[in-house]
Amino acid sequence: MGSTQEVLFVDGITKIFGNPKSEHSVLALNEISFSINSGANSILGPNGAGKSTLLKVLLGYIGATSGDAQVLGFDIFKEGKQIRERVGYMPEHYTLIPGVNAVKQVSLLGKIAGLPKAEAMQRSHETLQYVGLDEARYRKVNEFSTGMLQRLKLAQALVNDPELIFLDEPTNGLDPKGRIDMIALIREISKDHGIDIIVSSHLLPDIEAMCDYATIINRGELVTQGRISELTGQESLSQDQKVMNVRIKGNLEEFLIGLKEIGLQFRVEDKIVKVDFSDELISQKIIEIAYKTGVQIRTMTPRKAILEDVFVHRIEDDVENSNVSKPSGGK
Amino acid sequence: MSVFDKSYRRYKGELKGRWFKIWSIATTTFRVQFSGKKIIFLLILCNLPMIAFTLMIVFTAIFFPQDLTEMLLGMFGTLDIAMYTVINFTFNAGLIFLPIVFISALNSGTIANDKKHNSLALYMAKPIDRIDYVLGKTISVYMISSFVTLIPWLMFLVLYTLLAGSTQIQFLDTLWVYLSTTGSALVVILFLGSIVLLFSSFSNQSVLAGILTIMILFLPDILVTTISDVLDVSWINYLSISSLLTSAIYLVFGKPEFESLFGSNFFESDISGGISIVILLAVAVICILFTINNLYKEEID
Repeated sequence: MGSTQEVLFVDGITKIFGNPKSEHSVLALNEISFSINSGANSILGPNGAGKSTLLKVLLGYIGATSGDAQVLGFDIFKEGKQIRERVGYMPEHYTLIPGVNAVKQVSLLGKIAGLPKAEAMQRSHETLQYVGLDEARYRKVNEFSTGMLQRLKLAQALVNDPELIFLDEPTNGLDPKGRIDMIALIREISKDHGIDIIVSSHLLPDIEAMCDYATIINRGELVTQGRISELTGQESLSQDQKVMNVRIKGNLEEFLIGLKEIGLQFRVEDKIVKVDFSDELISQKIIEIAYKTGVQIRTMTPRKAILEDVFVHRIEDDVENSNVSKPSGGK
Repeated sequence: MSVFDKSYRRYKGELKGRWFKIWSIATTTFRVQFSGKKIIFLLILCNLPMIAFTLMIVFTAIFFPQDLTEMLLGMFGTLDIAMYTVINFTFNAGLIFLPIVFISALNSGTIANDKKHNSLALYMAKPIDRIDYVLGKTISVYMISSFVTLIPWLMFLVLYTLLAGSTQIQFLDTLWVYLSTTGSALVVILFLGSIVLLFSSFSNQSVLAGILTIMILFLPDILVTTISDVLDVSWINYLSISSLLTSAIYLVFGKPEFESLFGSNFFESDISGGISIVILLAVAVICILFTINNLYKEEID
């Protein structure tokens, strides 16, 4: 698949739970429109933003109230089976097929995806080995730990060799080691095997580690979208309150007194002085203080924004804008 | 976890069609439901009448071969009456609880367990519809139900024809008995299996689903027994599961005359076999439709 090919196209999708005319109805997706190209993508949003609803609509689990959407060029309303033939899905919640072992579960799901019997069994073994469950292949899935179940869900999503995988909270419930392994595996699936991924997660550091692109949604609407490096770059430039990380050699106490004297706020973490600033002349001021107090500046770099900054600020902006435009409150 | 690409392989081959997927669901469910020592015990328990008949014949064939023909045919008259009698013993009110308990116990978890473990999220992420899922589960339930109906009945019939040397019964002469037996089994399987499947789709607790099924299948009989003491009308028997089944089977066997043992047509039914078959099949179809409806309403987490 080419690097710029569109894998997902959402055009004005609305999903209302309950009778739309009733005041008890819930607007989960509000005429949301965006597109996602091939690569390692993510969908972010706070709880209740509509991420899971969006994935369920795209997979055909639930119907949309209005709008259009295409996954890999197939219409979600008319060509759901063609979509699910080409898309793997790793669900968020606890899910397994009771009474079977791992090989049989993955093999069954391979057969349901259309793989011939022998091929399904062979790929079942291969994918279980690939996700690191080779030694637990013949254990009943009911006995699996949370971490093993996460890997099992990934194996069943991979078994029919999909072009695109939806991963819903793939690192949920994993210990730090398991989390690092899972991130590495998902990154590898995307980079080395050319399988496009769309990850939905609230663990933003994981998203930064796994994905190149982010689509942030809130209250069923698109907030922002773009390459993560560009979004964080823009955020670094637009931050009102910036932080300069300074590492010095010399008398730290005197340097800190110097900062205090000119009214700068700071904190010290791990021998690094983190100076808050909003003034473009901060570098010059710090150099002057260093000169006066007789310390050497080893490094001085502004802290770059991370995805969490982008997420928090864009969501805050979205809420503010919404309050201005809808003062009486809507659904 | 080892992260390596050695074992990941792209698949470029053909994909199988809809019925292959449905059959895969059916066979896997069948294997899951039909495993364990308790199942073997239940299977023996529920086929006790059939096992008793079979052992009787086998012992007679070994130790009293001269009495075999008299035993096989003398008691009943003809093969169709013999077979009908055997089936009727399974479904006569006193013994009907055996297949009902077996079919309910083994199949009550078919959909309930999937609901409990949220399996639908895995199934429905693959290219199948919910109706395909229900069809796969339905086939599995019918396959399991055949172990207390079709399979033992046919085995018993085969035993009769295997003893052709003693009984002079020719296979071709018994062909329609095979068909009648199969027809009777299908009516029973469709009816009982569909009811169990429906109750399995109501709850995520398989034990509760099983208990509810057994209650629903027994309550009408208890009700009919109670009411018939007060109200002496034959149509009340249409509410009784055992009466419906026996009258349907009676019709499928061509209303055999049975007078040799008790001097009267002991198994003759008070109600119309045709109406009974219509009721049984209608209930089966309605149950399947409701099951499909339940699954379409089921929210996937």
